[in-house]
Amino acid sequence: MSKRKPFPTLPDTAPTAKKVWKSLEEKRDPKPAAEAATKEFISPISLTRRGLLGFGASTAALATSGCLRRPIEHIYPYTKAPEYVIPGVADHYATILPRRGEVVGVLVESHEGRPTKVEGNEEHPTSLGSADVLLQAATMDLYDADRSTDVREKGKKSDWAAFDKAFAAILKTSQADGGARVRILSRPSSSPTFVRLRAQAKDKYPHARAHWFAPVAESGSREGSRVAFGQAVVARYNYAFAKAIVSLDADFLHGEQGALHATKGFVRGRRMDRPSDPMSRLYVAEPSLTVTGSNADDRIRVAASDIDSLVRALAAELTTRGVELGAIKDVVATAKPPEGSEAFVKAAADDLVANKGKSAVVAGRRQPSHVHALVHAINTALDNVGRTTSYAPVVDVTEPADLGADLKALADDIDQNKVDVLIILGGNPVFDAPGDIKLAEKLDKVPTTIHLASHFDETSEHCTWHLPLAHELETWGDGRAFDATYSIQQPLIAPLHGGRSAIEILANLTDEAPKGHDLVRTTFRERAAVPSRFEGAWKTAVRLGLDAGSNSVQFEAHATLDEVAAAITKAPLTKPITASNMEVTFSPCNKLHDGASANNPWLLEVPDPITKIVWDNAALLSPTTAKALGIESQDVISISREGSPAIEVAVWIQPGQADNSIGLSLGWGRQNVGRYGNARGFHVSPLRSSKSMDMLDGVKVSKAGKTYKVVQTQDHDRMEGRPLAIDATVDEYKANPNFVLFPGDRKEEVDIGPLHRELERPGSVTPKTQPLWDRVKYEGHKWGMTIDLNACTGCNACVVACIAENNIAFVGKEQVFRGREMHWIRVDRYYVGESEENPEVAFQPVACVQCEEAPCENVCPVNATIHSEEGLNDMAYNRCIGTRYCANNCPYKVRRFNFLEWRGPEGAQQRVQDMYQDIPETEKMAFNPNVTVRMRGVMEKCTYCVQRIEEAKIGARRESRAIAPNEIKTACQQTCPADAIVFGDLNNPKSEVSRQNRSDRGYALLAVLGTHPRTTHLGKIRNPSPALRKHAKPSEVKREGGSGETPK
Amino acid sequence: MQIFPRVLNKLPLYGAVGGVVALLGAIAVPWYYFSPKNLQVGYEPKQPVPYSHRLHAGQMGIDCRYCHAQVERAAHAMIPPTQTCMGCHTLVKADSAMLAPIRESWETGQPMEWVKVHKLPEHTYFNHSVHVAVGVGCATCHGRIDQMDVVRLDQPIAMQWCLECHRNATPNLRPKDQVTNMSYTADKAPAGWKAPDVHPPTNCSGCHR
Amino acid sequence: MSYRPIKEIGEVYLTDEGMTFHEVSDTVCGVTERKAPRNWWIAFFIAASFTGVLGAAIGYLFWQGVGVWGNNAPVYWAWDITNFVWWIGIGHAGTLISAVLFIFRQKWRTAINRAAEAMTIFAVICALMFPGIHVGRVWFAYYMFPIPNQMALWPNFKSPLIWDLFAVSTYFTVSLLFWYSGLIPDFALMRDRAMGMTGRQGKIRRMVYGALALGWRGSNRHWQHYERMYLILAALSTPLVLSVHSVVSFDFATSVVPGWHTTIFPPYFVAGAIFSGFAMVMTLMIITRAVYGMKSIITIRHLELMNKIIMLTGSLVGYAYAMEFFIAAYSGNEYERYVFMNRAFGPYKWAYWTMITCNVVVPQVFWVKRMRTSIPVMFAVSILVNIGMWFERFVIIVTSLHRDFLPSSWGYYRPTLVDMGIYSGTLGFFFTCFLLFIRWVPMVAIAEVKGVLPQADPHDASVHEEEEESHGGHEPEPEAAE
Repeated sequence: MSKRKPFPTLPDTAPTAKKVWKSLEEKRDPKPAAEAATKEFISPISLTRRGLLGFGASTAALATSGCLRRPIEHIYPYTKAPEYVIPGVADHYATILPRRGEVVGVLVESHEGRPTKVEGNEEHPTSLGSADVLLQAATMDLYDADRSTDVREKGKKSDWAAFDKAFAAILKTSQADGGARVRILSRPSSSPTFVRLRAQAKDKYPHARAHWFAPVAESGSREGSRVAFGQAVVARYNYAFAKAIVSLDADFLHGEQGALHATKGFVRGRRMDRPSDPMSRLYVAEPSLTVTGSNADDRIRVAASDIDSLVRALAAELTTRGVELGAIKDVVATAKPPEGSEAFVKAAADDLVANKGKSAVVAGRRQPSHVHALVHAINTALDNVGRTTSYAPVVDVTEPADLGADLKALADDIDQNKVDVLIILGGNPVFDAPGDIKLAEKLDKVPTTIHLASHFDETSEHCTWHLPLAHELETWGDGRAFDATYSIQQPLIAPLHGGRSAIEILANLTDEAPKGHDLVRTTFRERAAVPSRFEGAWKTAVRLGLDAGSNSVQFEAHATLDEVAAAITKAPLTKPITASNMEVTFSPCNKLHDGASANNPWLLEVPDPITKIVWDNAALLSPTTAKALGIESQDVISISREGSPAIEVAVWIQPGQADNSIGLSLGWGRQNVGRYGNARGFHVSPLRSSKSMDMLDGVKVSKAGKTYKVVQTQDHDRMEGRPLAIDATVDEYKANPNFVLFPGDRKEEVDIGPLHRELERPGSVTPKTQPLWDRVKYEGHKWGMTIDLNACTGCNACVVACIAENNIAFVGKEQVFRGREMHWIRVDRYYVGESEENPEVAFQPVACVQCEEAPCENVCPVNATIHSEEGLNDMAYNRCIGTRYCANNCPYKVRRFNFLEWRGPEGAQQRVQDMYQDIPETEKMAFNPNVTVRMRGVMEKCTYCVQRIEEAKIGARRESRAIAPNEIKTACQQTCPADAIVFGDLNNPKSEVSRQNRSDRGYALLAVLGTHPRTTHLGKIRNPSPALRKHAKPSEVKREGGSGETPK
Repeated sequence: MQIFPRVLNKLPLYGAVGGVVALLGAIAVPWYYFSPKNLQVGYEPKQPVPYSHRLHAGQMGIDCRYCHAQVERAAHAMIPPTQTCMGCHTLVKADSAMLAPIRESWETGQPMEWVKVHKLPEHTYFNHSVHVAVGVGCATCHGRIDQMDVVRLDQPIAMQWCLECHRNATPNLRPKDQVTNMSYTADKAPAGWKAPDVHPPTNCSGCHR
Repeated sequence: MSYRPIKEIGEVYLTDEGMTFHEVSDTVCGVTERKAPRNWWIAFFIAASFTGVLGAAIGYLFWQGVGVWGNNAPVYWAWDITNFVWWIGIGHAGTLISAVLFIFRQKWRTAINRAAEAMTIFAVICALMFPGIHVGRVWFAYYMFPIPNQMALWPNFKSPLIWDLFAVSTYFTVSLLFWYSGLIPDFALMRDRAMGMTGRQGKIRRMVYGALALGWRGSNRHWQHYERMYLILAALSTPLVLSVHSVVSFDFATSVVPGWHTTIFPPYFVAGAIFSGFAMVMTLMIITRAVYGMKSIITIRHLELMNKIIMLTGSLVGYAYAMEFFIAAYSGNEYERYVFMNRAFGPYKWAYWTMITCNVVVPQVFWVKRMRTSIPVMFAVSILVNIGMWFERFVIIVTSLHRDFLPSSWGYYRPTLVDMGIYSGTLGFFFTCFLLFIRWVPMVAIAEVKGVLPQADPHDASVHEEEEESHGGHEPEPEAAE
């Protein structure tokens, strides 16, 4: 941490200042610890990182406490205190974090200049206060101990000074021929500053050429929009108003651009407060089960390559229903839907027509341009434009249509020896490039290659110069959100490893000074309307993290049908996918995305939302296909295709997978990223081809004769007919608003004493006989939570948010295999319905439900877990001795036990084998100082973020006011893009939670046990098309199940 | 034939009595010896600069919050930055030898190394602001700082001690304007003033999170 | 046919007729006075080395944490508690045989009660280890004791674990006293026999046994006090026999876990405990009587009587198994139902059927007298029963936990080497103790055995009248097996 230099515009973060306060570094600073170990009787938790000390503590104490009354501990105050930093009180700064071709606005919590937690920025249209898995894990990326720390020349340590000198020289020489032999390779960027600088560089070096490459790109949709509208735009859907949504291979709730915004809207369109509420219907046709697919009302499995024919058929169906598609009509007239999807297409068409102007058709980024064009045409024809869809211009209009081809062009230039200087700004092309390009050997041919990257990775190894890239939380920058909101990125901490940002490097090719702050200001100045108001506008923009109103550039575009028709005629249909013509699809990983965060243990350990696999990716096969090929889960198969090398991948048999289609996820199999990410999962890029990056047909599959252990956090997929995640269709809900009740359920206000009416929780039979003793009455606060299964999309953001907020340890693949993951909240994923091939999915987030009659409490021999007067099921880590009885007796299995010292030297080996000895210094910086770090041998669990509750209570007390109805948000609630989780005071009639708690969909999980949970789940509602009514409802929950029981 | 001397006949008796005594001792001795009362109270380490609260707070009557500025806003009362010292000592005793470390810290930017006196276990979360807000006097926990040349631990900072007050806070409360008044005693309370009813937390999560 | 005195109804000599007091003393004390046979040394070496394994394993456990075991979520308890309950169970027979049979005037106990009690002590020590070492933070285990402290915190007396702690330690204390008080007269005897001995050995024996005998002189006064104390202790420990394992069963019965949460547990556990206890006594007695030629004191008759009890308790346990299923089915509680179906046909069915075979099926052979009296058969059975009872605990604990309420959290338990090390280690420790016991302590209650000799019966004239006959006459009972 000595590397941390004070950043001019930031609070003074003198490394020692933190020592004043009860911060975890203090505890973790080895010196006092060592003293403590030998000198004094020390408290258990302070031993966190030294299981060994724990063992010896009492003896050490007895033996030596006589010598010294107490260890000397020092307090290091500031020398000059920054006035706006109150030590021990967190600050929040608005900034942005980039995502492929877009940015997401976030609010970052900072403790004495130490970013600890990322939240959504409520002001920002992209996040609206929510954050997803990747954003939540961003701090761990920042503190990644394996980030590149210094400049390297030919792999040998060098420094910036040396590089700047060399770089200047290189540029000087290449200026002669106008930079004809200079190439700049970068990822598609939404940063106006970046684009501006590149343009300037172009002026200075007219013959230099820019190239674009990213493993996951929007090529198809950009090109499609270019065809449809004559210019590249980003489509923005307003799912809140859409009554019928047809998603064609589009995971718009998770994998696509603007997913957070989409989720918010989608969920708003489906909120069911009462049976009469309208609800949208989602049709999904996709090859692999995605988050979106698992939330579909009607879903069919269609190979990615067959989507083309499906969408043409859809268009045809629409025209027959009188939708005006002009020239397209004839083109698609003969189109046949892929077999099995006929009914689906008809039903979808019906609904679309029925909801003209209130519908939306979405195509996935994977799909070719003409599919996107056709979809735009359809939306135009259904006149959804301006209602459910609008369009925003892209920032970088120069970005080519096909990035694969563009990279190929660069490779060819290199072969023809046209390149002397190649500047790679970010990204890891060698790893990501399609196999047929063989970029590595190409790079070796270039005299000077400069690579700016966060890690000394696969690409850096082949480059002359490696430059450490600063994290987005360390540098200035800007970007345009998917809806064109201009957003500003401000640093929260000085570059830990002295890295630089892409714009700072790029600036060297221009006349501007390479200072991130100034570069961004310049860009902003150019946009600012009135120069005189610039300063004010700038300050506001920095404070808010965005330039308010900048997304007004959105417009309504109407597709030119003839162009589209032409495009479709030009694009021949691909051969349908069959057992003889199998396809592979490549999609960004649900957790690692494109693999930029491949060394982030939080992401590696959080389960995949669908497969629940951790620490690996796998080739997803449908049960039928697997049987046909004679393959079991965990077998290793080799996938080959002429033109590209074969790859070996472990198989996972996944319900919902299209037959003969193999789902592969990108971002795994890194060899050179760091202690956590190395050799995790399988590297699939080599199989890709620069011609078609995202899906390939005609692949051959053969058994590799090996097996590979794949580990899940949940290995049982069915509810066994138990009333757990309860769901119903809209009709059933209308027929029986209390469908969550079971025979014998009571659901009325029961009087449990003066002023205390409470809802008897149904959900399964509530105990017929009440306990012999009086229920406790909770005056004052009565904390409770509701989790709306109808809203939850299963994205897992809450899990990572909880990890970041509560300092939850990760344990490694082997320990997860032993069932020892530590996540306080988990999202149970159940398959519902008879079909093995294409089941419905029910997600159910489960954290500690804070039972009022908690089974865990009365079995603890040492009173380590006790009820608070506000009904919280308190867990006192420092009292726990670890008999684990409470966890045995917890019906919800939400308690987590520190079986080993996950963060200590001993635990380290157990935890992630042969990875490292002790937790790295930088990782310690990620800790939330308001939450104890638990040592081994201690039980832990969700506390409703009690540290936030106490903070709010103290604040209220300080200002002698009452806590506002919805003032306190738990970490999971705050981040949930679907607003599925609501927390608050059940005794406060004004609070949202008390309202939701009385919803007729509300039920208590395992109410039969009489635990009286404080967390209420709200039943899930499905809205399947009557035309496709295949539903064996009510899901698989047996109504008689659980009936006739009496409490024990 | 006698194997053992006669006196040993009493051995079992002695053994029994001794055993009981030993057992009780084994409990009582650590109980007392490891008690904060014994281990902590009276802790009076030497500070790098012999800063005298008696002089500053006592004789000059500088208010506590002049230096411990965050006590009303944050969990930590805050040890003042070197800045604060220099605020006066650029003029007063600007060249006193005793203040050399302060000046050095000011020039080099290296923080002062004060020795921590009031220490809580890391798993215990204490918040100054709320205690001050409800009217717990500084002196209640820190003793007559204004009479100390060297800061000395006045109260045993142990769970039991905290609980005593948390279970019945009233005796330890005072009007808010009296919080920093070192010499305040219950009888000095203004007529008609009644201690507010601040039922402080007595459950685990009140202090352990 | 000469005159024979009337004996108590249905009672026959419990030793081979014609044994004299002196022979009894010689047979028993001789063991400790002669040099240890070679087999003893071999056995001791093996047992001791396993004790070493135990030490190593526990050290590693403390160093690394409970994670070195296979325990996981949801199976938070596994072999640790399994072993605990198993050992406690074994520790039952001792007190049962001594106290309960004593109170019921079952004289046949005399030959076996000493060894059985010793076994109890050692088994309970093994058992007591586990609550100590299975906790996550051993160095804070003392939180469980009600010791005044600075945190003003006390244990949670609502927790079955606390009841358990007290129940087991009480049981241990009483058993120890009971065992020791029974030993006093015999220690005195050893001391007196040592009087004659010369050299250092004699001196040491005099000192040690002298000290242990607490100055016993065998005067009427001594005997009177002794008898009374023995009776009181017996009365004290009889209810304990029932209470201990009932309380242990509360650890499970008071929980909400399906498969644990049943009212049948206390009697069921006690029966099981006696079952396994007798089996273990059986195993040990068969070995010792063979090795040390005590066939004349521990007769086939004793063994047969024990076999009957084994058969009885075995059937009781079998009944309990059946009853559990019935209750689950009858309750209509789907979770209960599932757990029991899962036991019998789920991933752990191998364990379940092992249990059924060893505990219910096998003991039924004892309906046949030839089986009851055949040494090899009863030896095999006793071993099998111990295995079966271990599996019973394993089945109850692991199969109930591994699939409880939420299928999303179901799991599977696999033991690790450390698990096995610790288990085999306790076995090693147990046998080490037992071997030391038979080496240095009279393994049969000499005084009591003498008490049941005909000579001890004032009305029995036969000893005087038919000396030569009783010497020459009666051949020992046939023992086909040997």
